[in-house]
Amino acid sequence: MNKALTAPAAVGLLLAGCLGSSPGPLTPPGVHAIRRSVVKIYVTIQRDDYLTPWQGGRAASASGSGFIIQGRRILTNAHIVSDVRFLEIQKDSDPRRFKARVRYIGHDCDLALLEVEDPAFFQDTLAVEFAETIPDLNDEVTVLGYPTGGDRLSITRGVLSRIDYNVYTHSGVDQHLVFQVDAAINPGNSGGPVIFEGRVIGLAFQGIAYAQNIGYAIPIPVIRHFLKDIADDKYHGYPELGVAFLETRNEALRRHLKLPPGESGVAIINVDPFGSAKGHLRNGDILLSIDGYAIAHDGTIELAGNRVIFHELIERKQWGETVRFEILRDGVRADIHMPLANPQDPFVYRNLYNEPPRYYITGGLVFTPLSRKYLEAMDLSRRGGDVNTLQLLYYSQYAKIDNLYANIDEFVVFARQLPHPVNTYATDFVNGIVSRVNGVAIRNLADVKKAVAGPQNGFHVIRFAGNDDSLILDAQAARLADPQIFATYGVDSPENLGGK
Amino acid sequence: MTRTAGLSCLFLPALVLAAAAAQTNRPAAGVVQVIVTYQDYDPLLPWRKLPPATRQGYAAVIGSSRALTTENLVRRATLVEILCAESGDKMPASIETRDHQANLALLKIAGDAAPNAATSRTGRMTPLAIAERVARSSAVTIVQFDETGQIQQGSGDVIQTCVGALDGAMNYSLMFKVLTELNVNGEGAAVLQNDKLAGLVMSYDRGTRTAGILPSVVLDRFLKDVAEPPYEGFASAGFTWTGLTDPAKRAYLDVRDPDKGILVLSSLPGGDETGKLSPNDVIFKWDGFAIDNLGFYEDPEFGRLSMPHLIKGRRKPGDVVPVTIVRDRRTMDVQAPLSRFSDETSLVPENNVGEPEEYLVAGGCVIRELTGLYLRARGPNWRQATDPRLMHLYLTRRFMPEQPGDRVVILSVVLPDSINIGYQHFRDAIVATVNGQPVRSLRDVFRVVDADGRLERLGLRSCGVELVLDPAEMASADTRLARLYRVPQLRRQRAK
Repeated sequence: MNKALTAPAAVGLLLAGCLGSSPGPLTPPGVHAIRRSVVKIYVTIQRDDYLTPWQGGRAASASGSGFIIQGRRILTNAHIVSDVRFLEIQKDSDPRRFKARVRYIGHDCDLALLEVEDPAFFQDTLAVEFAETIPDLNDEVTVLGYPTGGDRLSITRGVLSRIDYNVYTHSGVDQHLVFQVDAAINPGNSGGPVIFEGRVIGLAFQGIAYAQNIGYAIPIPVIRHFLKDIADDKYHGYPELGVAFLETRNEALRRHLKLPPGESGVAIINVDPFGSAKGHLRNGDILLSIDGYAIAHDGTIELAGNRVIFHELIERKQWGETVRFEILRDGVRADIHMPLANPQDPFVYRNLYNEPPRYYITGGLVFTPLSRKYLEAMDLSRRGGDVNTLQLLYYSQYAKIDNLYANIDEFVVFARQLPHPVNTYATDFVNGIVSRVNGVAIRNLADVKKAVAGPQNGFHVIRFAGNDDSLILDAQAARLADPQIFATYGVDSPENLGGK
Repeated sequence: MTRTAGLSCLFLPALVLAAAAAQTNRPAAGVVQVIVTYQDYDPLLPWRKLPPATRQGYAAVIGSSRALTTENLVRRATLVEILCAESGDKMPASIETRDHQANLALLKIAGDAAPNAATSRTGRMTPLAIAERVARSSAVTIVQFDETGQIQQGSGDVIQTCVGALDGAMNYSLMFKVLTELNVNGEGAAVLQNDKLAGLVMSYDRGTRTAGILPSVVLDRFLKDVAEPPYEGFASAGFTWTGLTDPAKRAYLDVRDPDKGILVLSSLPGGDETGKLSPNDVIFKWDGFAIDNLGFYEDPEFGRLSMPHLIKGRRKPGDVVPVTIVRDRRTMDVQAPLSRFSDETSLVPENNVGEPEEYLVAGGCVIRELTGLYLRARGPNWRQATDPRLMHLYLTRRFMPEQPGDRVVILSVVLPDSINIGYQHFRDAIVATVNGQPVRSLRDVFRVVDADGRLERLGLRSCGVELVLDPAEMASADTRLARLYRVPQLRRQRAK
């Protein structure tokens, strides 16, 4: 399930930057054997720099946790190994570090599976076992990992405080089930197992800054979903239903929607053009049941004695599986069998990893597709009030809702000016969304390059959404200035258009 | 302000000196303090009024029982009182004429029955003559009161003539900047030159010790307009423009004169369509004055000034001015009509003056039109705190209704009640239909609701299902809601 662009700002991932001294570990009963499967992961990562997209960002070292599962594989968080340049793994009480590689990675669920080629690594290790059921609230759980504050394994205990849905901050938009625990979870704990009665029920992954005793774990259903997804040797990701609904708690609304007395359900108010429901559901449809489970007025279903949002059943399915809805459409019942898909949606603005930023530079003007990483790089908290920035936020949040994406593959932003006499007067247009270049409507980044090839009467005429003014560049002067601009600002390549 | 006998005694020598100075300084008697009790409407819940508050400033006495001050000072006033220097007597005053676009208001001071000017309270005031011309770099005197009501005078120098923004996006005026050692303590303070009124203080920057002065030429223009009703106000040309300094843009537009011309970006709706300027027109000459590439011209009286003064300062609404433009690479002369800008023509009016806004509360749904006042009520970070869609409309389309009279109708909030269960999370949602009929303004909403007898269904933009309210429960729900949430009137509709 995707959520809006804004994620809880205070939620942070638990990747340790550096480590300090090492007090002795505690060993609660029942987890002694599992210690042998919990590993420390050392990474050198290099995040891309969206402000200077032609060059790589600074490399940084960090560490996290992981644990060995069946098949000589190591499960950890995607955020630990995203944009990784060098990856090593170390077992508890073993001085050796083993080189590893990422075999599968799921950014939407923040999980990754690692492989170690050296078979010596797995000597004296134990593959953990997963729990078959979810524990109850207040059940005692144990968290193992390598958090900040020491080099050796740490074990903390607490209870399962809450089972909820929350945004996974690694992608910034995906929302799945989470376990909230009050066991101490600190930077470096990411990827470590959460144990209940000797079995893994979750994987520590994020916390809330400025809150006490709140840590989050990825629960076992999400882990199983990931492992099942990669069974065909490829990670597809969670299917996306793509509907927004209105509760039908209002009696007048139920009558208006011709919902019979005693029946319940939710009314569809928006169908995402990139979701699985497109072509199957439409506004005004009432979802009565999902796979035979009756949907209540508030959108919940009863599942194993608990009331959960009906999306939970979608969450348990894989890409390509089918979901069955019973719906009421214009007062008539109908069964909808809907294949679940996860199509590429350029307007969901999920954080991207392992993909160098795409850009195109001409005349010292840097164009890039609108992306979550770019918005973050701009540091909106410091510059959130100007017209262009506010327009970027509008486009990023309302692209599909207000049909801004019509005839658009991606929004192209004039992201940066590399100052040069040829572009002196371009400053006011920075962060504008490019609508036309030389009379050509811009659908994607590649269109900018194509349009630049056809100047109008010797000039590049660049128009922006919501702006009556135009940016004009002398085309020949821009072309002649490019080598000097590239040399001055260290641009080794004027473009990375990617696949589009 | 409370003054004790003890304090009076302590400062008796100073009072005597000040009084003696006043006797020899008649112009200072033309300055009065204005004490305003005002009460704003709650911009978020429009039936509420905020607690009354008080602010103080100054006015210049300019005629028989008349005083000139800033409109901003007396905005939303519930009581205006005048206090003369060195006097505790407060005289009520009424607002005779106000123009928020010029930030000027003319007050009428209630007189007393005393026939003798020497004993009359208003007789203590000495009207100021309006200075005919105030030159740049000339010396002026700013007159204000101290906290005990004594006159303070400080000298200053006019360091700049410019066209500056009053409050509000469209309100520009000729302004003087005066550098002064006086710590200016209120707007409306009189600026004198040769014992005549040279201007009124609009603003003061403690950091740079400069005051923004609305000069006498603007005051004089306002007073003459008031004296010849109906009041016409100041003119607007109805277009937006930008400078044309970029050589590439000039060459693209085939503008060959390197130093002249500004570019028209958009033409605002309203006014006379004949002779309207169009986007991409380049204005070379306005009303006989050459316009440079930053929009400045050489004013015969004040030197280099920005073009808005040519419109607001030298012309009036209804005038038609000759304009030389380049359109589609051809130079031509057109006649541009001027009119008074009306906030009412905007898709999103600013309502800077804080007029009580129209609304409808039905079934707990608070329906109103989007205004700048409503948006700014979110505090200093109102731009970031506002829904991006509403902010986008405000920033890029606020002057551009698709049809005259269009407004952005919003469901601003839902007052929770059993009748609106399931809808209470909606906030700042754009209303598209009411009872199935499209609405483009609150006037449309009133029309539909009055014709149908009640609000039954509310269609919100990008919400594929209407919010439905139980018609059988509406009357009782409205009565209940009005009582519970203390809403004295469930609708406010101005007469059109």
